Amino acid sequence: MAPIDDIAVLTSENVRLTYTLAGMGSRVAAFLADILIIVLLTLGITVIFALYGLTFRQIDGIGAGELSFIVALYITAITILHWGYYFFFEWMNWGQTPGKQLLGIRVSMADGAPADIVACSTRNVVRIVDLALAMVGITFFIMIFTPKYQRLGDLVSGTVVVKRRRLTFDEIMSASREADRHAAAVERSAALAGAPIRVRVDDAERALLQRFMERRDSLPLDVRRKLAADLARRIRSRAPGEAADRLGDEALIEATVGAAASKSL
Amino acid sequence: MAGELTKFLEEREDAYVGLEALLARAERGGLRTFSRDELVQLGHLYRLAAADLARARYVLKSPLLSEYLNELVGRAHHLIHRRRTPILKSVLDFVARDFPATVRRESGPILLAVTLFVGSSLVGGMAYLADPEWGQLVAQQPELKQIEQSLEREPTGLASAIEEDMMPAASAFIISNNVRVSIVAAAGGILFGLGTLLALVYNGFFLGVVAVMFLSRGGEYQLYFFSGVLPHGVLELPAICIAGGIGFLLARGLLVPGRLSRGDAIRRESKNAMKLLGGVILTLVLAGLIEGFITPLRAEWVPPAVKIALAFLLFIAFMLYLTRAGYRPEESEPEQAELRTTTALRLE
Repeated sequence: MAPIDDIAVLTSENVRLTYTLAGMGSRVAAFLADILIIVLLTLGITVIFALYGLTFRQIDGIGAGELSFIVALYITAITILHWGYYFFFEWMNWGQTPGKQLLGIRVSMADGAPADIVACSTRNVVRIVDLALAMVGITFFIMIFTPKYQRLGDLVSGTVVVKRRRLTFDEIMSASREADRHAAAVERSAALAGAPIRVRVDDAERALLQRFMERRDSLPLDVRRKLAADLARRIRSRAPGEAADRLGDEALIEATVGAAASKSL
Repeated sequence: MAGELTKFLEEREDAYVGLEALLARAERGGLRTFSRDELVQLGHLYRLAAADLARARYVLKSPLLSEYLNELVGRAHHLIHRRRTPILKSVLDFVARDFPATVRRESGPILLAVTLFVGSSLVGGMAYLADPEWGQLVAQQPELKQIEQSLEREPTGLASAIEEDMMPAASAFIISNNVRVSIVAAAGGILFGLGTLLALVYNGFFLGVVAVMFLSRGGEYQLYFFSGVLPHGVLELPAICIAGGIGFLLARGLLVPGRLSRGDAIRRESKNAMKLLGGVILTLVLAGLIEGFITPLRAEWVPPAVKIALAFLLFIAFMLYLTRAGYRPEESEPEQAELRTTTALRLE
């Protein structure tokens, strides 16, 4: 049932936590967002120090020594920003740089534990090699051919980048109520269609149907139709009868999932 | 009509919302602000949520609730199982013991880096002696030309190149540059040590050429070269060599993993590697301050001979620090020390 993009962790309470690995797209997007932020911060710091230096020079009795001190502070700030940005955020902000936060992904150890200080520093020291290799595309090859989409820095430090979706209680509560209403509506429409849709599906099948329903809006139309037809054919083969034939492919899938969901969401 | 899940959620609303709030607070301000009761509460809610997660998966069979609780339990798990030592204490402990001890433990790769660095600087020096044009061609650097031109004008050359007013800026620039070089040298180890090898050989060669450029001119030039390089060089050069050692350490995990898997081996090496890198950066900051503020002091104030003597003392002190600081007898028998730590952990 678990797709290959999931990693599983067993807690000391013997409960399994699962995480979905972040895809290449969101990682590249997060990377670009972070680069943009670093560039903007660099510009900001430069402007501030430049203005500071200029106004400072107007004051009488200020020599080159004091200005040089400002330059020293400036160089220090830029150096810390450029070398420390990733390390600091990933270590202190639960594995998330601002860019990763934006894309809803974070760094974690391959076993799901939070990324520790050694891992955060190693993966970002090696970043410079990954960047150089990315210029000729090698980094992307490495990421595609490692089972957990790891770049060199991840491989060395034993980290992965996973999706972090934060549902709130209100969201799942309203989703649950929505499902109740949906199930009720399905039952009513099934009653109208003449007979209720009763197809026994096991957990794996239900998960498959649900996955289809979650993703159907993001699929190309022809793929969506073909998948729906395949799934509906399976259901019909098990529930011969007019009620199943009267509904369209997707409506049948909805009704089947709805009937199962009325028992459990 | 409320379904099974909705009923369950209504029952758990207070608990889950409470846990969400506690987690949000802990992630923002840490656990220190929590009262005793709140800590007990957190543990209680965490165990409840963990049990519910198993239930959501196997009894309620709800992907939605599972995903919600998965994140919630994951966050609480991270919070509870995270270990943090006070930052000042760990920094002091690192400087006083951990860094030098790690240098001693990983002396193999570091000595390899020293050998390569010294070796290539000898080659660079001999290359310049044999044929100045060729030596410069190999180390194609605009700085080399500049140095040579400034040598034509005055013997002080490098020694007092920095104007007094520019000292802070120059110092910061030197530090940031050296940190970059050492990070590149260390990270280059991941390319089977090739990146590190190149960085060491290149920098060593360059140093050799410059050194012979000065030294071959005799007398005064030699004095100014030593007084202009050694005060900070006695820290900077060992630091670069340790950075090279970091690269070879990573390469060792990659090339000779021994009984471990390559991934595990390199992860084990990376722990020591990062400790070394921390020490290298601290050393480079100190060296950069010396290079910016002390090395360029004018000869009228601090005679070159005094600078050389100070450099000599500093070098001895640094070597004593690396070889002796925080030394514990069990270091010599690493197997036994490891055994002792494991026992201690078990007793804890």
